[in-house]
Amino acid sequence: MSRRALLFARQALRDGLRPRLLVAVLVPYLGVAAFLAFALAEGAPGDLGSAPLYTQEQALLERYSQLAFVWLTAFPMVIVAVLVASLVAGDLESGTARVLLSKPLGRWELLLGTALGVIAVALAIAVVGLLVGAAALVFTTGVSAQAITGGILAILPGAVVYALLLTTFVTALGVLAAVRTADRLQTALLTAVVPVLFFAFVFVRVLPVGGIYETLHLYVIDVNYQLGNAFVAIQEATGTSFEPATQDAFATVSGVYDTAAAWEDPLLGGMAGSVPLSGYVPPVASVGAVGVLAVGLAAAAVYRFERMDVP
Amino acid sequence: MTLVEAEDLTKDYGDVRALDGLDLTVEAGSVHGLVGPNGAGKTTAMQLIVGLISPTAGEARVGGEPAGSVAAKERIGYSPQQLAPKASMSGRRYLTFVGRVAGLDRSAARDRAAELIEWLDLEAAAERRIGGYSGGMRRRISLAQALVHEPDLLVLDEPTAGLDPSGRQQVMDALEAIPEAGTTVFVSSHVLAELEQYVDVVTILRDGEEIVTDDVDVVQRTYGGEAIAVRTDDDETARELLAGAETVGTVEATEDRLLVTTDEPDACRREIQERLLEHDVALQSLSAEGTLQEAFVEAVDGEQRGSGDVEDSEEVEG
Repeated sequence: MSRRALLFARQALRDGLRPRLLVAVLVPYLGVAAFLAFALAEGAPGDLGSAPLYTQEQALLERYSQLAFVWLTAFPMVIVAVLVASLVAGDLESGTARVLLSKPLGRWELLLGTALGVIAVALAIAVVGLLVGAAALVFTTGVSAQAITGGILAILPGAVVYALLLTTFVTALGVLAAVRTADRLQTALLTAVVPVLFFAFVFVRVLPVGGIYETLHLYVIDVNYQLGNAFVAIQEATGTSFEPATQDAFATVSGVYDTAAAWEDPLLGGMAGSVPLSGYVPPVASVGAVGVLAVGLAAAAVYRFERMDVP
Repeated sequence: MTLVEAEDLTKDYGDVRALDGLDLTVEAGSVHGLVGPNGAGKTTAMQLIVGLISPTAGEARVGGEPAGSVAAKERIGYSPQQLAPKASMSGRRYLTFVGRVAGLDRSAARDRAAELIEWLDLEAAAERRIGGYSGGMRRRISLAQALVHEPDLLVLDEPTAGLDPSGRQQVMDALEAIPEAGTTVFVSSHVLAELEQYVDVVTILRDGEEIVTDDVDVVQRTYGGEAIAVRTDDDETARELLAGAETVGTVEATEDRLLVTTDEPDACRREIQERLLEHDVALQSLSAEGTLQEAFVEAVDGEQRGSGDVEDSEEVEG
């Protein structure tokens, strides 16, 4: 990364962290996070704080994994859409980029530097959300402080790595949309396709139309499932394996696990062994696909930007 | 030494040809004006030279380097017609930022920003957000950002467009100080009169085509003064008669009339009428044209225009 690219990254970081914008983003983001934390804690036993530490950790992990995946790392995709529309498409639309591109620099430096700044802003917001969400869950479930290590810190590094992968992918898509359209609204809408599909597929998967999901291979474009797979793969790569109860809960919000194929142990009074993966796509393949797509989209954006007219 | 060379520079936007085979050279140290009405292709020509857009055909080089290359852009400072800086930045921060983008280190960029702010008399507004600047102040900031890395060539697209007389004067004062520093200036305007005191060489464009490139003195001498359109029943004879008239500068024949330039319009009108009458050439009409530049462009273009363009028309009986 060149010195100029870092200069653009720093400027994008500054633009993205303007107090007014930050308040506009953080209030709904953290507000919903707190609400979801409260809702997830509703199902926890009332005396969770006095349960064995392992039980507390697993109860926290089950809820935190859902919260982290469904909201805390997902909402920053919307932030990326807004920032890319404003900082890349907006600068092309308004003519701000014209002066910068007349200076002795490679166009890629402006594009990738700004993209890096957008990723940094979205990731910083995601990290804040992950910490605030964790604190809200600890508070609402009433677990002891010792449970934080096994219930929160166990998946926090993986969640941050996943957030980085996700924001990079969405930023790459947004940057390509920006250089294709040079239009704020179109860029925001095209970039928002990822979060829209992410949330929409939670419902599409459970549509009461027998077998359509498998027959039409909808899992290929099921952003929610593919990203869930990536989330699980990254957690495993960072040394965290989910217990059956967490796998079951995570299946509801991502479709990664096949709850129907799990079996209940009558002696234990719960699921035994582990919930099998849905298995449409290996989790590692989803990580690879998201990574390759991110690199491909970014390369296409740079290729296009180097050749396009900026009148 | 030639700093800018454009050869057969052509740009199409879809079916529209914005620039049609422009051949242009800008000599180092000169002030070269690019003049033409709106839509003539001035901005397109400048953006091709700066490298913001790619030509459909032909090529441009700056200092021997292909337009748009980093090496070419190192020599160029560009001030677009509409500056759209980050409105949330102060003038000083914007200039420092652009200076760093142009390759200066932090302290050099700060020093250069301070120097330009002082030179362009923007100290009072330097810490204010650019979003609150007047049109004249924005133009000066635009000029400052173009000069921030001390380029060899300054490309200025309509630097005074849309300004009130006071703002225009401020910008022109600043521009007039630039060539003293040895910077080559390539400046556009839709009004020849605005640039004639400032430029050495002028290129006139119309509908994407180059009409003429010459020293401004030659253009002024040839096409200066006031323009009078003359319609007769025998333009060929009339042209010969008027070419030798004392008060006539030049005579150009177009498809349907003669275009006469003069510094003494009243005396010239009388002389035209007298000469034609003496030689039995019927004078059908004698009319003053709009601006000199329009008259010139129209004369060369030979395009027949409606009588709506003609001002102060008087019919003369032959």
